Amino acid sequence: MLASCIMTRGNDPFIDEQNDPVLLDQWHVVASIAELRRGPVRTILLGRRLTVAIRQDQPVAHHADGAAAATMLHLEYVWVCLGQKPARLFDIPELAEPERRVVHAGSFGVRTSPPRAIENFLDLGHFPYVHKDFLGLEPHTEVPPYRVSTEQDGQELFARDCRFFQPRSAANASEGFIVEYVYRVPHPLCAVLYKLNPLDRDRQDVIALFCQPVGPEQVRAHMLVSLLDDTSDDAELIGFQQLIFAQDKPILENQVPLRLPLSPGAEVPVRADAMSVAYRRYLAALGLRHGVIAA
Amino acid sequence: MIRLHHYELSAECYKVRLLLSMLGLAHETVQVDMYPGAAHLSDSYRRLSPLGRLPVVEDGDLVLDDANAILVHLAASHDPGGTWFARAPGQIAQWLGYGAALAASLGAARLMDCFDTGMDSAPLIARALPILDALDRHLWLEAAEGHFYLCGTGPTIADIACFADTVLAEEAGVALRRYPAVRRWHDRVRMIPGFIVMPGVFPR
Amino acid sequence: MTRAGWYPLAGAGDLAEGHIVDAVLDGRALAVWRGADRIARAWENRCPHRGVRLSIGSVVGDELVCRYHGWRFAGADGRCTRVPAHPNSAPPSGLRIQARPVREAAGIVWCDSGEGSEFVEPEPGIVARPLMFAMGLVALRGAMLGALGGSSAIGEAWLRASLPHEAGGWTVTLLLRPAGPHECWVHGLVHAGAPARPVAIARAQTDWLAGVRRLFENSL
Ligand code: FES
Ligand SMILES: [Fe+2]
Repeated sequence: MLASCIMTRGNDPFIDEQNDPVLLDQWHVVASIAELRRGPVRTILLGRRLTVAIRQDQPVAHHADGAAAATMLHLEYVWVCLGQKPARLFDIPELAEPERRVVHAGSFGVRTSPPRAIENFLDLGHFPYVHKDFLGLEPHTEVPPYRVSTEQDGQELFARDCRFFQPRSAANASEGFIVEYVYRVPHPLCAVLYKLNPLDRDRQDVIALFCQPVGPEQVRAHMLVSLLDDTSDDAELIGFQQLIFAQDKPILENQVPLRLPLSPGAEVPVRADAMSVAYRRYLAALGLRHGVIAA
Repeated sequence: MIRLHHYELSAECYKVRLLLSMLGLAHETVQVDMYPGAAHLSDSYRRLSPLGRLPVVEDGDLVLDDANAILVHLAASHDPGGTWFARAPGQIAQWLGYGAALAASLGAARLMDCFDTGMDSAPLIARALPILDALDRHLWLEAAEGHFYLCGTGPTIADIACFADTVLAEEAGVALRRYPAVRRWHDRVRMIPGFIVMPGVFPR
Repeated sequence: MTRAGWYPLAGAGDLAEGHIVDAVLDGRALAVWRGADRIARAWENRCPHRGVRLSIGSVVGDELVCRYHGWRFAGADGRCTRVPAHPNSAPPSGLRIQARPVREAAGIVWCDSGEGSEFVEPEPGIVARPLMFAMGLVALRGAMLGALGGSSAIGEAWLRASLPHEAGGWTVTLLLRPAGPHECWVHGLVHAGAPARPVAIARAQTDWLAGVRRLFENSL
């Protein structure tokens, strides 16, 4: 007992992960507009209970003691900021293009840290294993080199020229081919995937994952899909996206530790993990504490 | 033609998909957007199942909205070998009951957590643990006699009825390492010809 | 931390070829598996790539395959033999999964929680079904010695006890495996002199032990 008290005092000042200033001073998705149309939503953000609703077209969020939290409507979701509102919140301008369908594919609870969930979303190498017959298939397992860059003064992270053979890359795809991806991390806990559309290779499908940090080892993952597909109905589109995500879920819940280690030696990356390495560096540079094991 | 109305992430629906595949029965499927769309509560779906239950199987004029009932119907009407149900109906019906109890406890807890409903699943888990323990005991003792399935030496619909929710138990927060005989039986079910996965279930 | 020594992980018959048991020994998570060479192994239950539990993976031949990215590890030495994302490059060198010492004796797979501990062979018997108790080893051992009339300790992790007369009256050696501060597994060997169906003996043993567990759970 005594020894552990002394050790704590000797270390850096203890920072409660749920009060991580990087995440407090940030907008987070808490519910989709689609879900709120059916009624108020009770949820948890960074350990704080919130009730979220839409009243007269305006989003409102309240803490358990009745105090209001800052809200905004953006990209089909209600976002909440618990601390100081950041200067900018990223946009996905492609969603405004004509003929696009934008569908909320559900909010899922996952027992993992928010950064582990995002890192998985940025990963190509698992396709032939976790998404066998859909996003990958042996022996097409190779991950060719891709380009990683930080942009917007280090606030956004990109991976470009990602190519991978996929047997059935979307709900309406009937044959396999090499798909091209761009990954974008515009927010420490949000990621966007641009995928060449199998019907029209000049236009991109957009799939976004917004991770709501419930706690350091509990995520509420919101999935947004925007496709040019006009052959599948909404149930099929949603079903396909959920299927893919639900295949990742048991992997995420079986990672040890659940928090993402930021120290370079903690896990063993290979070239295919360039984006994972970059994401961990990006989080370290932001000084994130929540859901990670600091280097 | 058999028509299955189902939702991909539902373990109840997985039971029926598994048996259809293991029996090699041709069928058509209709996806029901249960979450987030709540399409199972729509007026059109309630014409099939007044309670909005999943899955539904239409086979000719017959419409069934209960996983156990569908398993029994398929095994009784579409299994020429008669090995999946007729061999030991009493014993099998008992495990179908266990399967339903698992669906109502472990399965319900899993969906609460998965769809992030914010509800407390602990009371449901407390009901599921003794059932898992009884299953582990039975499977361990049967295996000691060389019976590698719930009811003897070959697979029956009893295995399917209890497999779906237990193999997904960790999604409800229950560590399966507590039930080693159940884990080992999962491996055996994975080896049944025609075995298919659903998200959250790993292949062999 | 319990004293270093050999503890049971699983019944040898319950560890079928190609199966992976998910077990914990003294806080250490283990993937216990048997490949085509029939050798039982106990590995650290964590893939060095991204930390996924190896116990959710699969066995192919004498190799363990991780579920996430399909990295393969050789049973013989724990070395990574294949990184599918780079099929034409050598896997990272020096990458090796920690293996614990394992041996099979008396129908049980045993693991040394330390290094080079002396192995004491128990009296042979019918292998019983392992049961988990929600207590630490020391507390469980004490509770059992107190509650089971005529029981006696054999060292720090074994007990000798007798089933009640109406349950057959057989003598059992209970073999405790510490898992965590509040988790201990009870393996066992039943010494049945009279000829009886082994499974009937094992059933009587597990139902008796489950009764002991209920007793302890209710008194907590
Ligand atoms: S985590 Fe095991 S192969 Fe990637
Ligand atoms: Fe994935």
